[in-house]
Amino acid sequence: MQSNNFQERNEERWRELELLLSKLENKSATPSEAAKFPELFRQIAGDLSLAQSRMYGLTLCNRLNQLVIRCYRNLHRQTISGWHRIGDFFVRGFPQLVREEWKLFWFCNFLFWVPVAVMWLSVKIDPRWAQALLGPEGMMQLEMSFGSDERMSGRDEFTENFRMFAFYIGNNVSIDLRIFASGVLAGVGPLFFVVFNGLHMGAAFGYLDHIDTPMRLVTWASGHGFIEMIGMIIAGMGGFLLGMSVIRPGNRTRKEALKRGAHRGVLLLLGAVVMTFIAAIIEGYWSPLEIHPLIKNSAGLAFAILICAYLAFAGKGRYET
Amino acid sequence: MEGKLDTLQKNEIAEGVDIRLRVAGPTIRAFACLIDFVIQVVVLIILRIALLMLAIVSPELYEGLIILVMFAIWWLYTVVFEASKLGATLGKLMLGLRVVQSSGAPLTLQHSVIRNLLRVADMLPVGYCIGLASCMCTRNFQRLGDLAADTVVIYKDPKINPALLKMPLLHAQQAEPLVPTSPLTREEQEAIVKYADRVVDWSPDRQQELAGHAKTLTHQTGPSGVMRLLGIAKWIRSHS
Repeated sequence: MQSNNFQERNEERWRELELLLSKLENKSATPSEAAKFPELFRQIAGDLSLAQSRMYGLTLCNRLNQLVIRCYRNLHRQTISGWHRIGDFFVRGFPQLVREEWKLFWFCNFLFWVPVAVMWLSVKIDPRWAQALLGPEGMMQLEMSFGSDERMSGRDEFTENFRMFAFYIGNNVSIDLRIFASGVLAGVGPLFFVVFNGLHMGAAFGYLDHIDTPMRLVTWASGHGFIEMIGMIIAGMGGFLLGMSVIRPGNRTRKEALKRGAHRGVLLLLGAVVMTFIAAIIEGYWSPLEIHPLIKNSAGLAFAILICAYLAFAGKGRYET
Repeated sequence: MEGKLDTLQKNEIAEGVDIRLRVAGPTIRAFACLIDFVIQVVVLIILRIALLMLAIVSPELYEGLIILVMFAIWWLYTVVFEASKLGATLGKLMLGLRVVQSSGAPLTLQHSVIRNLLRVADMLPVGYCIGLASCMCTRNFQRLGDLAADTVVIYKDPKINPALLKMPLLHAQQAEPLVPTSPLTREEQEAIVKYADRVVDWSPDRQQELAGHAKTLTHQTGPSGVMRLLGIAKWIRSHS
């Protein structure tokens, strides 16, 4: 059969399909019309196969190729399957994923908390370390905010709280995203960011410990600090999943490993971003409140225990994915 | 398959047929990126002007909103547009590009998040150097974000020269069918038939230059080489 014959014979069917496709694309197809779609798709897939193997020419093959791609896109179009899937992820999937990667979780915690402790001690012994890390301006600011009992006022206005909330979102969530993305460069990014943040935090606490007491900073950060740190650490895990798949792909090809690492890592990142988001809300609205330190600290402690319990137990047992 | 003849990427789909995606190179993608950047900046400027009244009433609220808007424009713009039904950012849309999974299926949110977050890594150290290097090293011009998300940027509707549609085989019809002197692989047959299909698209010099590559088959160069190659194409077409 010649190309022209082939075209003439099937032209009507192709036109019908084109019409149906445009109806599907602007969502005006009736159910009975839509039901015909899979059959028409299979037929045109066959037509394309035939046209390709019989070399019916570029124009015809191109046209059929584009049609098949359009069909394919419509058949495989994803619809957001509702909020329950997102809810399910946070109730079960996310803590499960963190537990599955428990080695990485403790490794990232190690990378963060050890520098905190080391720097805290070093600064307490020799405050010049703080100078190197925080700089004179950072030290001044710390001293002003947390050094004495005279606190800066003016944070209790709603609008100012909103500005700070926005700032924390912009700043901290961006850091999470960068930590994750830079993980693809063999994990160098998360390594740097997590350790550096640890050193910085250690220096701040150490410096306040040196001049007076770190308790005021502890009280201030008690509500948001823990969830923010864990969020950053989990973003680091996501980054390392990317990095590890490049460094040590195991029995997969690097490309395959990277694909898998990215799809798992991005889920960790999603959880981390939500945690950082919650931390920003607390930091914007709860942390500046003038409440008795004892109440604030116990609330912070309770919240931290809650987070630990969530990561350790949520989605355990009974459920199967 | 040995070396690739073009930028078409073959994919077999579940229906058992190969679809061919025409992947887009770094240059056109850079232009799309530039358009997106201009759009982002313009939107931000417009929003700043629109919110100017607010800035007078409450500077803190204004500042906070601007930070959130900048965050959204910078991180979410590409993610949302590429995960949407459009499957492309506005810049890509204007240049006729589209992002798809390398199987040809549309992106899911997860794919879009991965490929657009890793943009940060691709931009390092300056001006998408890593991304460009990665594009050069992969068959389908994939930057790191594309590799991780398993996506490709393709032309939505590859353009066909209108001249081809009007007189598809005019040139080739003049040629006499010619039996090839040696057996040809399927790939070679396809290449020759495609040559005949597109020959009207090129200047005579280009026609001869390309036909010259098949000299071992046609035994001639110049205009007669072209005619002989077209003859072989005609023979293949009538015998397949």
